[in-house]
Amino acid sequence: MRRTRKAEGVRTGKIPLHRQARSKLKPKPMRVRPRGSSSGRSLSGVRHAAPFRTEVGFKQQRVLLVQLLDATKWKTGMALSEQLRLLVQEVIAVDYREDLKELLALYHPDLVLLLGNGSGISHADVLALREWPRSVWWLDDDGLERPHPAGGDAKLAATQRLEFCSAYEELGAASSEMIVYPVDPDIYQPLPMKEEERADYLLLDDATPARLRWLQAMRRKHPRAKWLAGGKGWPLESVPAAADPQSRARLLNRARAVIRWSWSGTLLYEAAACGTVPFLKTLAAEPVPSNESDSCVRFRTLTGLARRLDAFERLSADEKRAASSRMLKASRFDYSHVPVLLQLLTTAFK
Amino acid sequence: MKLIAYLLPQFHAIPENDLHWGKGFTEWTNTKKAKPLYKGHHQPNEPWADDYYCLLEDRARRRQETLAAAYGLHGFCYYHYWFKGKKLLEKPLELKLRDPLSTLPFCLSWANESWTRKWDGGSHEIIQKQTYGTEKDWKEHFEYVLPFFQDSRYVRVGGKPLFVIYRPGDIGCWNEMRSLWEKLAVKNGLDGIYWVRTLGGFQAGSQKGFDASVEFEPHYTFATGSPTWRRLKTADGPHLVVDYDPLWMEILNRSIRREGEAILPGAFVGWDNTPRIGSRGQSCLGATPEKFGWYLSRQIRRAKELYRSEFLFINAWNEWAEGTYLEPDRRHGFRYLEELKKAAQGTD
Repeated sequence: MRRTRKAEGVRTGKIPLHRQARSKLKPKPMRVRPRGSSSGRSLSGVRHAAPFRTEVGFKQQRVLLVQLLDATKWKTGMALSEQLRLLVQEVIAVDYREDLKELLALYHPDLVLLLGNGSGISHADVLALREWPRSVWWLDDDGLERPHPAGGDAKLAATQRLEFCSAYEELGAASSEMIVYPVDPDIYQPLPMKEEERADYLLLDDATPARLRWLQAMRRKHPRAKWLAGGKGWPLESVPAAADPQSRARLLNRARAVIRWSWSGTLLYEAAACGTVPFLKTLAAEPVPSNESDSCVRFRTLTGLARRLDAFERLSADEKRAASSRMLKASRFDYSHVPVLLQLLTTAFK
Repeated sequence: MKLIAYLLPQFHAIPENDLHWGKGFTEWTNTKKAKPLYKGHHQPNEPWADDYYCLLEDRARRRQETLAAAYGLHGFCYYHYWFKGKKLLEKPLELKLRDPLSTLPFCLSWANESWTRKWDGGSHEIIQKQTYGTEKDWKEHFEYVLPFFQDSRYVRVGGKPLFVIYRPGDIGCWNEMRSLWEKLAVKNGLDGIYWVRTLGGFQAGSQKGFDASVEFEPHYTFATGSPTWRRLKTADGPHLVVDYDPLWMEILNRSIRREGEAILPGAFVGWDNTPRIGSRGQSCLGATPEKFGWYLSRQIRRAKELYRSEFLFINAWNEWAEGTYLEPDRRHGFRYLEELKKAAQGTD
């Protein structure tokens, strides 16, 4: 509700002394001034009180979103463009057609956001992108063995792999940050499993001699736990690597917990969305939180993994269920499209 | 989806309650004397048209069943009280068994905890102690429930009568008792028994021999979730309250996995046990019929798609003194039942 004030001193914009003390007690409302406006005064000189509502920071921005994602990820691209519309003023979403230079000239976006891995982008478009003041290349590089060369062409390289960040900066990006693509909740969700399909732990890496010794010790210590292997070399029931998302979701749903000896933000999101507890190895530089409400169980060494697994096994059935429920809740909210897009926008507009 | 509501039979006088709580005591006694403790606290809750029914009356039981069936409930789960040969509150169920006009399906939940002058089975001033006896006593118990199991209205799973046990962990002789009951069941022409244990407000350790576990809400969420309790000051002393919506969101966000067992999911209407124990109880803020319907429809969908359960158990048909009842009242009329029907039909 707007109130018009005509009290003494207001027209001049100066707050009288006897009102200044009171105004200091009240916190100032957060306000983003509209473009072209320099003060809160109307043309009549009457000063209006601060708007009742708070404006979200990106709501003035226009984003050009260019789709280069693999055809199998069309839903991700569509969902991201739809959710982005909640956060910014305008989204122009296009599939890439070798016309980026023309689109930039036509729309003058505040931000150009490319989704995918940039194969087939023309040289002219690369040059136009490099010159654009604000750009993000949100790479889909989780399955790649090395950083994608396109990561150096935008101001911000958003990657699925924390360990690729410094490489993208060396390639030419002004900055790089790990921003994981949200998973499709229609696919990655809890699914009912038959008793014979159910396992306690799914090992998603290939065996090594050290890991085999570790497994032997775990099986002796927890003889009732059922293990599944999603990699090669384990003396366990082995399941083939799941290539398509549906099979991957089914595989993750088979186990109560999934263990991987390398960090993967994508796996974290996928597992958590399925209600499966992820045990993931942290990168050396990251601290290992001990807090139970973390979205995954992190470890650094095999000994650390054994300790965490023992602690997990000691939980009662309902405590394990509560832990999985917390992670499921976190994945629904924290890893869904809007929070991830906010993370991206905040970084891009820093 | 078969929606089953728990039914409390404590709506007629029995000598034990007369002795310990006063002549003519029933659940209505507590309900009528309830008082509001804080602003917005709605007590006493009064039945629609002042229908303070007595469950010994055929009219009352038949009316309950007619309402239940009309609004989409599949059946009632009666609380059954058996203390090594001693029965309590058994008459409504026995009368139903003999009543050909009482057609609603039903099953039993053995409420195996001691009756005390505290309302939650704790050991304070025991009115009737729960014990289990020996094989002779288990046989006698089985022979008592057999006519119910054999009744065509009894709820079955794969031909086996569904029998819920409230506190299975308290039964020290569980394996032996179960084994005997299974033998007796088969001997008497049943395919066995579909054993269901309750996941409620107490630790449920690992216990073999159950076909499924039923989530008893909101107790299970109180015990295993992380609801935000607030302490209100009342004239009677401090009182704990919790919000309805986050409680339901915990239920709807819960992982479906629990040691691979079959889960029969639960739902609740509300919670307010201040009629029983005053400010020492807890109450839920913000429950409305519309919210109940919305949450229930989601839980029904989860029951079908995720839990692959044939049943969903609702607490309760008539727990008036615990503030969780579907029966019509003066405040909401029939709205809870209407929401139940919408939820049941919407997901069929």
